[in-house]
Amino acid sequence: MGITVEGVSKSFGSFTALQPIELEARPGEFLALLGPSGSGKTTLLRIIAGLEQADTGRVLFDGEDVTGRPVTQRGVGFVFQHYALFKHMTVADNIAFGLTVRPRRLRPAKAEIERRVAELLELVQLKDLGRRYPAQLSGGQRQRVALARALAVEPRILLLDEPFGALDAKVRKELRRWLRELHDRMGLTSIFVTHDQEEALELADRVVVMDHGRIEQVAVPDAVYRAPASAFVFDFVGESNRLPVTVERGRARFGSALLDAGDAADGPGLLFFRPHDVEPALGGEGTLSATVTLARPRAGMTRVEAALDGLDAPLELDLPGEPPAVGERITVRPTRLQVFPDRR
Amino acid sequence: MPAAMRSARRSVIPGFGLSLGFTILYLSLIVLIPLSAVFVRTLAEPSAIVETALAPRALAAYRLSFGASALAAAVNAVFGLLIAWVLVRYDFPLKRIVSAMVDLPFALPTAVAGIALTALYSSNGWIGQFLAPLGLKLAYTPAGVVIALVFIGLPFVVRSVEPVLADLGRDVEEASASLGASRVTTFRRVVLPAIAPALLTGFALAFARGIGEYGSVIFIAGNMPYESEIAPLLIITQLEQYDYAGATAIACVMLVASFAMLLAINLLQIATRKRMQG
Amino acid sequence: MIEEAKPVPHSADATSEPAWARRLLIGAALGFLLIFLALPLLAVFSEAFRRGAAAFAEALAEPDARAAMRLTLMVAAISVPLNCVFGVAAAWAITKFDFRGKGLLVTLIDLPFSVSPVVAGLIYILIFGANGWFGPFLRDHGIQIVFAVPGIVLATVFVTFPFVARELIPLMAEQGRDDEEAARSLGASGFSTFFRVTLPNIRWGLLYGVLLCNARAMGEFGAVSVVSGHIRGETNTLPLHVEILYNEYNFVAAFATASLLAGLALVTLVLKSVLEWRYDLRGQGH
Repeated sequence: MGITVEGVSKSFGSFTALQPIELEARPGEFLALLGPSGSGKTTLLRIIAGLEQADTGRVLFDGEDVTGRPVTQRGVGFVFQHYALFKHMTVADNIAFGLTVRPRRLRPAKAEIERRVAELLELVQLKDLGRRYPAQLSGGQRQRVALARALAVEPRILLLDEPFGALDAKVRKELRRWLRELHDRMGLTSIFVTHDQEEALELADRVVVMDHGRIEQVAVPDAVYRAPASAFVFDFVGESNRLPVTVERGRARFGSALLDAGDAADGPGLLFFRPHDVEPALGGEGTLSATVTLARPRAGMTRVEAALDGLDAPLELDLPGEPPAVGERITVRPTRLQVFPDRR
Repeated sequence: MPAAMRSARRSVIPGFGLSLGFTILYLSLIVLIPLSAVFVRTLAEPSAIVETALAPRALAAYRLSFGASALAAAVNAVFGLLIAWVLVRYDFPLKRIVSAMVDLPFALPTAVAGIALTALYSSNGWIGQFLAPLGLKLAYTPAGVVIALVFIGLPFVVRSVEPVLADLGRDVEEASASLGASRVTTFRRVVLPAIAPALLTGFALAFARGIGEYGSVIFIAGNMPYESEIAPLLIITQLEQYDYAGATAIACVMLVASFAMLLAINLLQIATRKRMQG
Repeated sequence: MIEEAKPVPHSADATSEPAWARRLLIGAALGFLLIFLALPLLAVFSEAFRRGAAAFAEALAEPDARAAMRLTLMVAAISVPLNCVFGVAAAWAITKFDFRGKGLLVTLIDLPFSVSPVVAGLIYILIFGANGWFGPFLRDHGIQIVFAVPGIVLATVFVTFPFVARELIPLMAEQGRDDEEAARSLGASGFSTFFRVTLPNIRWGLLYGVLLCNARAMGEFGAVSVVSGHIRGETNTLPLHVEILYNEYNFVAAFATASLLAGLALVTLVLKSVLEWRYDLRGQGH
């Protein structure tokens, strides 16, 4: 089932949570909403679910306008950040909840519900834990119960709010892979919210990067990393070096250094390059010279921190070969860089 | 005790012996020894149990005390929950003052409450004058007892339910709604079970308080033996007739009842904590 | 990169009732409170001033009323400090040390709350009354406890016994032992640790407990009624004075005296609310 978001915006008092947003999730897609806290990603997810009403705009499922449809009627599966399990119900009762609250004529027979619950318990690998209470489960198990509960009503759309946020690193990785498999097997359209870029890049078909209630970029994970669409995305996703520069006729000036600015517009700009996108150089145009302050060997190369005149933070550089000595002056040429206009 | 002393000695904070010693001494002198007198005296004259404490008049008094307390606590369970819900969930003018007012029955001396309620519900009172033409007489009847106990018990329910309701995450209700449950279903199946232990605790506290309540009840009750005479009043009546053994035997029955309630409340809370927190 | 989980702002669209239902519920709750709490309070003042301010003032100027006020103040002045000292000692022992039987001790401290006030009065008659355990001894030495002021104090101490302790125990448990241990490690004596470290930490909670304790001490009726003997001008506290006047059909005077106690209750509620809002205290009630 496809999801379309058209011109959706939302404010809480004087705080603008979402600028008008346009977004499309294709049927069967696994979409990540990635951004720092306050970027509006959770609000967008909640509006799609119907937990929140948008101030403007429409939400469509497979072309059908569901904007006015309350959450109870939208038929989406929603997994909450802190699971929101019903503490006073057993695991099995939690999972059965969505079926047992249906009006009598739509409610499956008791035996059918039991069969579905057993099936779902099996699916989330909690076969023998149906009679436990949520308090008796580990974090990862609770998360899977929350998933099973959301899936019990057979939603076509699954929405997950920071689904792995409260779990420790190891459990998180396992669950991630398992969730991806589940999504593919059940033919769901899923959107999940995360502030963890690694999670978004690894799991999603496409990543939606958000900041200050705006969508900065929608792209496949590789493109988000390789070709960030804005200064924010370059900064937020992956490691990067950032230089405030002045652009003049396709060249970016930083102090005495001149670098290729591509087709960036004239004026103040921000130049970005990744630590591994550099090579040792002899000097001249297109190079930067800096003083080594720290050198740590890493697999196959050396991570160098080097102070650049006029820049507060040291440059982070991955260089081949023997580590340079601290205090040594080195010159590098960024092989891939991007310049964005400086909006401030 | 040796283990206790050892662990206390390891502490660098002084005053363990002094503070615990004083606590136990004071507790024993003021509470434990005097209370034990009731049991000792009852055992010394067990015949009083049958003669007075289990006599028809006493049984009628227990029936009224327990029945009216249970009814009042039930009324308070309903309206206390409603008030707690409104205070936690909604905003309205003067909310802080309304919230503070809920504790009035804790702060208002019971005798004052008693005469005020009597003035309201007597046949020419502000409320009573409207009920009298309908043939409803509340003051000086068992119904008056219930009214007084509703007044006394209300804060117990509100204050038990309020914090639990405030702590109940909105996400649980949202989860319920996202699974298709209507607002009423969510309340019945998700909210109510979650606050049920607190509600039951509030009910039990109000009930226990009602059984022993005296000051607010005697003015409005009518105090007719076999009809509108509560158990605490019967103790006073026995005392006034110098029947100490009888008074003590009734007190003994009441103490046993309140300790049973106390035990039940504690067990309920332990059981709840166990299940909700694993 | 793990960031602090900040609460996402959200409205309660999905979990709130329609406006009409909200209004209905608020209306029902306020209506109940009006009938059961506000009206009785109003009735007290209304009845007190039924014959005008002069009759009100006259009722309070009466010598017996004056004596009742004095006795009530005196009883509170004795029983509140006693329970205050006990409350601090009990909370200190319970929260600063580990020992077996702590749970039982906490339960026993709360015990007076589950005893009927009438029984609370009765127990002192069983001990100090003419037929009581110490009755003959007291009679031989000419000491009167029940049906006299000491009995009233004892009964009041009993019914107000847990107030201070039950405010302080959770408060001090939450504050832990670090401050005291730090003070001791810096060389502070036991006394200066208590007065300079512990007491400043608990003063508002202590005040809260004292406030509730005092309200109950001045307003107690049942327990005091049993042991008082009802001698006008001598063993009548204000609540007992209210009862006597009421039973004599002297309603204006009864309600005038009652309005004094109601005023005390209102002052208590105001102070209590101020403490709760400013210092985030939440009492256990009772």
